[in-house]
Amino acid sequence: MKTVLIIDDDRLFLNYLGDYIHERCPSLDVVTCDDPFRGLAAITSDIDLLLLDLEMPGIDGRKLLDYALSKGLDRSHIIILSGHDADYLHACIPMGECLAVMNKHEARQKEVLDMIFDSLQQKSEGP
Amino acid sequence: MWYTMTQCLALGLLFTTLAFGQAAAGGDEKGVPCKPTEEDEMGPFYRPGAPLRSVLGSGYILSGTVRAAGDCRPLDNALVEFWMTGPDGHYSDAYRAAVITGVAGRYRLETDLPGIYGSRPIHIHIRAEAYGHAAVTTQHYPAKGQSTATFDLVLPPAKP
Repeated sequence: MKTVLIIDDDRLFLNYLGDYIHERCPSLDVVTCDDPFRGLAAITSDIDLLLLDLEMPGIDGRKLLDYALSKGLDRSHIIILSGHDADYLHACIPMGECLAVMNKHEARQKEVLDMIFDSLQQKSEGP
Repeated sequence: MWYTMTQCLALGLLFTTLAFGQAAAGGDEKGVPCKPTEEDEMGPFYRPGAPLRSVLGSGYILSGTVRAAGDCRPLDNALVEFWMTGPDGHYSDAYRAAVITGVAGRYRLETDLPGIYGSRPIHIHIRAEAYGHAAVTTQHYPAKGQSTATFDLVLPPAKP
């Protein structure tokens, strides 16, 4: 079973996204965390997809990204989410530092997320 | 399977209790409960978002353990931020860092000795924070002639 960890202090969005993935891809393990300090303990090198909110109090997504990389998590397993536009996000997180940097409220970006969730679901279910 | 961090936390607390039950029951080695680290001036140069790194220079190594007040339990996954002057006595982004404590609450920073700022003794600003605990802001004052120091940080519980 593939594991998705979402860390976002916006509980409304966190619950929405967690429920959404669970309904769309029931074979994925979805773990949600609304506190970045608690999220630190949940970050391990074997997470299949890590979704990080960029703006959080105390420890922001940038620090969590660096921490996850230091724990050995592959950067292709990490997505940064934010309410900011693409230009701002790419200035904060240059391309190549993680799988993707996305505005979490844009419909087109949601389509990309759906593709990633579906791909993970297929891998989780096996051949 | 769908589960929340609350369930994860419950397992984590169980592990912590098993792993550190001795400390949780008795305080520090002498049986004295840990008192929170005394607050010291934050000063005007704190900036949130210091990059995660443990090396800012060379010549001075500061290390220690972050613990919980009361039971002295080591706190892993605590954020410890540092800001200080460089050898030229000026604050800059080059001398800002953040580290996250590992197993047993340990942290380590390797840096240059801070430069003199005004009439103050040389110092390194520190802010520490962990889940379930209030942040502590303090300062470490390197002793003359020393190249290493141990500076433990004790965090009070978060206010409800």
